[in-house]
Amino acid sequence: VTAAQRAVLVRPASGRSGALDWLVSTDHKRIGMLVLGTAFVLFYTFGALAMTMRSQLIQPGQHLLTNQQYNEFFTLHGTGMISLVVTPLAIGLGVYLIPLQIGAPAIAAPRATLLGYWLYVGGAVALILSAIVPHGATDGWWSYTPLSTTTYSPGTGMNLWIVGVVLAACGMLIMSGTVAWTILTRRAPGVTMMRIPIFAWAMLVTCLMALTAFPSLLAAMVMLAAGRIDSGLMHGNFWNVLYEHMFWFYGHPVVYIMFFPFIGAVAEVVATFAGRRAFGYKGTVLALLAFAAGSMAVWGHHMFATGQVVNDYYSLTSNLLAIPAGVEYFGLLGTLIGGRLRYRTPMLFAIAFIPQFLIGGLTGIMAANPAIDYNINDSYFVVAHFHYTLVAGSLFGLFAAVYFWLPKATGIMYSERLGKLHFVLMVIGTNMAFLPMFGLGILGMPRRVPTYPADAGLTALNLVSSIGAFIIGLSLFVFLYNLYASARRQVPAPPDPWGGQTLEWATSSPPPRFNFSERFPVPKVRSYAPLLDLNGPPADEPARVRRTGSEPR
Amino acid sequence: VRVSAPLVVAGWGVLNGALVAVLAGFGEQAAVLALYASAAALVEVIALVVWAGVRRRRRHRVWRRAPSGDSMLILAAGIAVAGLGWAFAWWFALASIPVFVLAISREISARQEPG
Repeated sequence: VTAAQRAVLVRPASGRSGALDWLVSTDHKRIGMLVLGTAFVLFYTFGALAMTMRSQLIQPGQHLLTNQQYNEFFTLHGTGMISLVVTPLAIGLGVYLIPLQIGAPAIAAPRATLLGYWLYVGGAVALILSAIVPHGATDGWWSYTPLSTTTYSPGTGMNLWIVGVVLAACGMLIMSGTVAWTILTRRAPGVTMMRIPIFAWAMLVTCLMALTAFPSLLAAMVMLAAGRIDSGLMHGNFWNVLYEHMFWFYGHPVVYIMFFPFIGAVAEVVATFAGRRAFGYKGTVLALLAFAAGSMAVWGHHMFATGQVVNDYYSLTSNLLAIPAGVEYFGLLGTLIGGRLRYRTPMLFAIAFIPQFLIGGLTGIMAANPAIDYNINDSYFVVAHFHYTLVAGSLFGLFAAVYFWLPKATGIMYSERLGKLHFVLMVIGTNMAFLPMFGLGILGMPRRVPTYPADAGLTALNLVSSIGAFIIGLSLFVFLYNLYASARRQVPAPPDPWGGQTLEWATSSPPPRFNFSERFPVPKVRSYAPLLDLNGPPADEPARVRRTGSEPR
Repeated sequence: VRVSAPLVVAGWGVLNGALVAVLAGFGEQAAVLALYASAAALVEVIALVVWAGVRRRRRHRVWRRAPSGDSMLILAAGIAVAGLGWAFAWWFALASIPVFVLAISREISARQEPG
């Protein structure tokens, strides 16, 4: 334990216990678990909306939902998944893991982090209300003006939508600030910038993007709110196009905010289960920084169809993103090749992430070319593209992370058999659900339609897609059951069940209140894989995986 | 070259600034350039703050235990109620006043806890 850590905390702990103590705790691990837990509950909620929409589209001419309800469903599904689920999952993972990975006893500004969490909860309540009230919000996750002004979207639903988005964005902004500040200023002695894990770098660039992109969203929401107070403001083309610019200046980087942490997690998982140091660390770090900067410069490709942007620049920058993305992929593949691979559940999700996310990325490059975009804009091709990015990519990265760090966070092992069943169902479901959507888009099916004609040749692909969506739903219940069964079985997790390489594996499972202790000190850090330096690569199936656990390092 | 934290942030801001300059060369509208340039400038401000923070941290490397977070929960509730006031009716926002008062009082007592 360092002198700095010994200096911690002379203040006595609160006398409270139980649920209330959790809800107002300033322990970053508890706040992180609250964020992740809340986001998972909302994920199932908004996933149920998607299942309902897919049920409507399974056959032509169905009317489970009215047109108004369908619009409310896709608006809440889209806004909710982005603002309340995947972004919080990405940031929440950082809140939980970053202090552990850099050898810090706490997060910087823990009370501000807690404020961020509760603002996010307030945003969730407001956004859900926005769909429930009469005249619910129906304008999609971007809510373009003038459609979203009171002239075309009267009632309180749209107002609540704005409040929800603002509160959730403020929460994420605050948490991004504290995570970034922790990485930049609170590293343990010896943990230089070039010795932090790849996941920490991914979180840092994520937070930098959030700090620069989210203010633009807040400004756009202020503009939209002003436009709803005086709809005359939005009559001019200038303001409507400026709203789109401000929205997409947030709206594109947020896609990267929603996957960088997961690509970082995948890099950690791949290195651990390949039993070797991550390949191309410096290249990957540079690629992350370049990728993040580039991703701030491409937002205009969402506006090609407006005819109001300089297509050449946005097309060029969007295509250039393939270079840093390629470097990151090269790093992942370089780690895999020649490694002694162990196919545990986190590794399976990580390996599936690689080709599936590639499909999302390559179709993004296609959509970034104006000539193609004019044909596929607002079609199911775009829906397929971003679901391959966020579900086949980010969600697989998330589950790789969840299975990897669950034993660390909870102190119990999960069922490997159920984990693999979850994986198999999810691979089948994801590709069945989203691959046909590319075809639907090319055949001309527009997004956000509540039904389609029987003679349009879209029925078979919609049927396959809906069945795939239900299989994803089934896989998510397998995951829930795995959590339940693991909680009942209580197989204790050792400090390092996988032969991990980064500092969080040097402490107990779950970690103590201030992360490291006399019994579990911060080891000497000489590289970005300090435990690999100390212990060498793990055996093929290390003894520490066995039920009884092992001696701490 | 030693890679310091402020240097990373400042370098990232410079990278963004370069992309703004290229965008200007393509003839994008002034309002859009202002939006992007302000974001790049914000990154440089953050880099300065980080630089100051790192210097300060070198002198005072102490971790303090944070007091209870009750007031943060109550403050967030107050902000949410005020927001709902904007969505529904202005008088609804008045309900946030006692919540803010409660948050302030909890904050004062939290700061007075021993330690």
